[in-house]
Amino acid sequence: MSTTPHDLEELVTQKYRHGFVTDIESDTLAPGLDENVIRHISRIKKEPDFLLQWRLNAYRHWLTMPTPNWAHLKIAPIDYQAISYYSAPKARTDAPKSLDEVDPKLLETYDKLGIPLHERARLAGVAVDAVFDSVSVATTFKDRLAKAGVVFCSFSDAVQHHPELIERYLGSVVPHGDNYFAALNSAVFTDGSFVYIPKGVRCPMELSTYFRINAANTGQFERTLIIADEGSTVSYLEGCTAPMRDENQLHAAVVELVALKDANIKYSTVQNWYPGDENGLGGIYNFVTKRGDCRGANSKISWTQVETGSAITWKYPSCILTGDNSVGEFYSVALTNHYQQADTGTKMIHIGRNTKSTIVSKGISAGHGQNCYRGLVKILPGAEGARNYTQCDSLLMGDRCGAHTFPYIEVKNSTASVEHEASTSKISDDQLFYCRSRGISQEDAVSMIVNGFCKAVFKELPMEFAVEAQNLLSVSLEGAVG
Amino acid sequence: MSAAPHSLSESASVMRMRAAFEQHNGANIPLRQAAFATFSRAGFPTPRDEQWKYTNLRRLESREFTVSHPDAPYTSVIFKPANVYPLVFIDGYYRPELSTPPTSSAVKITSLLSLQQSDPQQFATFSDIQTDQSSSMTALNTALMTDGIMIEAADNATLDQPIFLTFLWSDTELNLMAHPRIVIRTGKHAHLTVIQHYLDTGSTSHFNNSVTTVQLAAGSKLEHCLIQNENNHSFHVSQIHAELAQDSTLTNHHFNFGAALARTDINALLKGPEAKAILNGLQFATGHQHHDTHLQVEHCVPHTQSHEDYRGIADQRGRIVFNGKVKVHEKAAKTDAQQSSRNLLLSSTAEIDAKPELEIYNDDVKCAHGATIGQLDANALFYLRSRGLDEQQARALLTHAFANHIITQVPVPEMRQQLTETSHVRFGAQLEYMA
Repeated sequence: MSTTPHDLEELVTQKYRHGFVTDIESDTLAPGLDENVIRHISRIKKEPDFLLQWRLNAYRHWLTMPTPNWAHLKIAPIDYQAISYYSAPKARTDAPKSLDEVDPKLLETYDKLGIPLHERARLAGVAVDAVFDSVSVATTFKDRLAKAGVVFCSFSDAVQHHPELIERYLGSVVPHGDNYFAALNSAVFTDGSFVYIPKGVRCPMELSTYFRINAANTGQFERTLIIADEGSTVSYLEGCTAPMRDENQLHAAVVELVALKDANIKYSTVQNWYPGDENGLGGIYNFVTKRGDCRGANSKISWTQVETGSAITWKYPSCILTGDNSVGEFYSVALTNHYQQADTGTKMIHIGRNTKSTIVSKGISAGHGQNCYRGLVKILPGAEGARNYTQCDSLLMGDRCGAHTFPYIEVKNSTASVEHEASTSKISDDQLFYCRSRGISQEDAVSMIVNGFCKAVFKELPMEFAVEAQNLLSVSLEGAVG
Repeated sequence: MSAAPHSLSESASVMRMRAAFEQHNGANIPLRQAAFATFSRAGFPTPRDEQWKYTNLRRLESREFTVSHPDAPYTSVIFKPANVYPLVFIDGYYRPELSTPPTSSAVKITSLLSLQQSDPQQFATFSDIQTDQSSSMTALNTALMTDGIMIEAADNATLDQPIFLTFLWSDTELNLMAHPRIVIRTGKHAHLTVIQHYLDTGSTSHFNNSVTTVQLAAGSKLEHCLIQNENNHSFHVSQIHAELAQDSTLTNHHFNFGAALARTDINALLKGPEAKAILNGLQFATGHQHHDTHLQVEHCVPHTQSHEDYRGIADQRGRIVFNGKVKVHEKAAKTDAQQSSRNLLLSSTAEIDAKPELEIYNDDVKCAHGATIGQLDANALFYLRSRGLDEQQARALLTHAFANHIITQVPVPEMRQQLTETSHVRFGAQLEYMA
């Protein structure tokens, strides 16, 4: 039987699989931003005074800052007064104590996304602190983590139960005035995740948060703070999907990592937010500030990211290598298709002696996508024996896309050694021909070659994530070649 | 009347330039007036400008420089290699009486200042490469241009010897500024070698703002050397703007040795298929020197090539900045662009900033860049020490070996010899055993 033209069309213009809107009553603030909105958010969340003052300082500083325009991006002007800065799922007087108490519609949403909390979370041994819009609704595996002494909760809970840790560490890596979007986040962030790993503890499971963007016109401003105390180890996964929408949505998150002496933090991200349609309409604006501070000697922070979604990605997960012998790593795959734009990379600031950093960045551009690596490796005068290796490779598909590299290297110590290499290539006809002659379809061949190109990064991801990431690349690249 | 309305916000340094411009003998020429207006609008570049992120002209701006005059006395011996056509500039003015231009009718040498007087219409077109909008320093050069040389090679022209342009300063206590302009145009399949040599053995601080424009017609070849050896108190800004037609090749050998602050911009537009730009360079900064080189190669059409090989050495409190940008336009398929930047950091108070950039809008390209910053190999040092060389000799030998890679590519043997000697002096060690 032959396929109808209608079927074919459906196949060709494959829509964003995770695009749908859950119909839940939201307790949403009217759009607009002023000090009263910030006071209101702080009041709803019953925050201590120091936090309110911190937010207001950030807001006042933000007002003085110009919109950054140095990135290689075309950004339509954002009306910050048209955004609603608080949206919470229908308020309940008593918070859910188990999954049974959670709004079934929420659970349904996760089912559609393929992450049924009550099954997969347990099977995969993953504790999920799911952020639905701005408030955490379900947190599992708390007991097991509590037994190990690990604190893994929503940011709001942490403010209530561990204010001393918040006061001590919040803004200590990304100060409230750090950059335009970090300042905005500091002023209006609603929730996020908080992790504290006590001294000498190896976190018994991988920690994971699925972020969702839901109610229309609600920018999301998460704040994540991870503190690994002396000698501890933690691996944190972050994955994102979002419903389909025609307006650009703003997302400005801040992630702060603190690694004390001998601590080890691994932070992995798969970002698959709505990238806009094939004509570049809609899509998420993803302006994220991520930074880790290797504060103690022998500490290590490793960032791994797979960025396939968002209309615009503006993201530079960085490491400040303060402690002697500390290690920073950055592994990234960024894919832009259709009219997506990405300006992403990292900063490695070497301060301590014998600090090491590794940067591996793989950029893939297809369609009209613009993909840009922007990185800074800075060796300060005190960083005796510092070492950096950087590799950034670009793969281009089609003659309308772009791949750009802007690496900054600043060295002030004569015992440091810095290497940077970059290459740009396309999927060669030879490679394709070879695969085709072995009976592999064009699409599978492209997918295979791209996955090979990204292998150095994928092998850094936790296993389940690596599988998801590979599938994601294949789906995102459908129709890009051939 | 002045070229542009006097703006209240104009900085003191721009006002000084305006005063210099208003007493300039070309102040009534529209081309120069427009250029000065461009400059005064933009002012001197600042580190806020991405292209000048690592180089601050504050030291230059705070000084007062006197406009140089033609016919200043010059008594010292002029360095020139044998077997070249020397064209001598003193304080930015061309001096025919000290020069020996080529006699071949195929290569025409014209002084821009005499052209301004004899044929103002042709003068107005000397700068047919659009550069003034792109850089305020080029605009300043156009406005205040002291003198310059136009080298025009006819189709199929070749010269038996290189043209050697040497830029010297007269014996004066005054802090002078000069804005020389070099225009090189080749006819089809012409073949030229041009050396631009800036030399100052004195100790007075001068400001040289030099611009070279290069237009290569189809099939032509230009071997070009830019050697900057000003004294360590001077400021040197030089720019090369080149346009390459089909099958033409530009080879540039660039050496930054002298000056307190030296900034060089080399921009090459590859506008015809099989056009090729080879840019080699060596920067050596010691004492409090600051050397900054920005390369920008644009591949505008299919089948073009660029090859960049730059080395930098920073010692004592020296600072090296390297920015290499390769831009591949949408239609420029089959581009081959290779870039390498290697740097030696010899002291903990020195600094090296490198930024190799790629901007690529086409998938069918071969582009790669590499950048390294490191120090002398400890094993090699140990080996030389064990053979009886002292620490300083061993370091100088290895440093020279590193630099020699660029020096050996210079096409004129006598120039190579001179560069080797300069580098020895600069590296602070007399390597008698190498002679």
